[in-house]
Amino acid sequence: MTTDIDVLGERAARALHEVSPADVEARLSDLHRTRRRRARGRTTAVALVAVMAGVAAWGRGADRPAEQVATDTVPASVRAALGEDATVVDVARSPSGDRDVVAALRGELPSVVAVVPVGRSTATVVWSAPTPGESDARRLSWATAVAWAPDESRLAIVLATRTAGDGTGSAVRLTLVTVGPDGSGRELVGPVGRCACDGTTPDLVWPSPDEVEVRIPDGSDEGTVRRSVR
Amino acid sequence: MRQVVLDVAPDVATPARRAAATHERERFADFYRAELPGLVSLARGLCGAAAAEDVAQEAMLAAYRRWAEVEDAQSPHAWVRRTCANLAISSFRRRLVELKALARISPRAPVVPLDEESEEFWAAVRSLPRRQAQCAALRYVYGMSGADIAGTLAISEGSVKAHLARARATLAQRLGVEGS
Repeated sequence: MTTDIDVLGERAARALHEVSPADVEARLSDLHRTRRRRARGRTTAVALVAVMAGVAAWGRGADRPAEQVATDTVPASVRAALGEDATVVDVARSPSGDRDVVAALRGELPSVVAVVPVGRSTATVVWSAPTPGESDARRLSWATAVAWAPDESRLAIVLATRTAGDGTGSAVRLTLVTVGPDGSGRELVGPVGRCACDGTTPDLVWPSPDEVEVRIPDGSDEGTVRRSVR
Repeated sequence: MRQVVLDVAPDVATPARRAAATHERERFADFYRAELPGLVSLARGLCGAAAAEDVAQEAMLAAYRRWAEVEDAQSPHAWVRRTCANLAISSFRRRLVELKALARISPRAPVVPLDEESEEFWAAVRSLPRRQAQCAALRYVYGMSGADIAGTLAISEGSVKAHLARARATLAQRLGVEGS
């Protein structure tokens, strides 16, 4: 039996449905971006724990516990492939879960982007920054964010280049490129904006086959930029 | 381009596995599109407009993180609705969601207010005990039967009947209408 309170409840529910969000696609993109950002946050948190543990261990003279913690988040295969001295800037696992793409800085070598099969200690470098001898040393680029295409046919890379600045403190210019997972077919998509990137890094997701999203964390172009890639 | 090959990486991802992963993502996207509007309504009914979208999104994130498991469950819809209802009703977890919402990256559209009568109804639902509020919200937002609510909240049908009866009586008294 339907009561007055049921009638009122059904009417109130219809009112709720009428004001539900219309832009579900945007929320779906948000979901992918949030998941990626949190994964990155966890890595940062564990890295901080690692640093603190390392300092504590140094005080006690213990054996390198920091490294043991850090390798929990940066895949072991990435460490093995790129070397223990590599500083991992960003890492993204392929949608099938078989490969990682990693942006890293390695000692004296320029910034590289490499594809590392999960569980293997081999790496294919698919992008490498010019060395200081090949380029103006004041305008060196480095890879700051990486992402896989949904079908894994391409990789997106955000390159950062330090410049003289634009008068707003946004001295880093960001450029989007794509490349095949074997290093072939490199394409310049174009500039995506500028940032200060002061203690933060851009965020990159490839949520649909034909569109890439870059979140610029600060500076004059702060916000989300979308670029067509097909 | 400059390319330095440290070692030739075998292509371990077979086309079949890639296709399976792509299909899995597409199935989640279809699920998301179908389910999100209802989840936002459910969350808004249970915890108000300010955190509703974020509570619904948190529930979807939980489903996405364990999609293989959720998809294999008897009803993925029931799983995510239960998660959303629990998240919306827990003040501690809702507070966490609100804090995360403050740090979110893309702006939300302004909240569209409900009419006064509907707002009053949902405010009354939010003042009910936890289980009564969940049962009432599922009943009205999704038009669920007692059996469906029991399946969604993983409680007995008898409990649902009792919770709904008490909820109706309290709501009727507070809102001054016929409840039984």
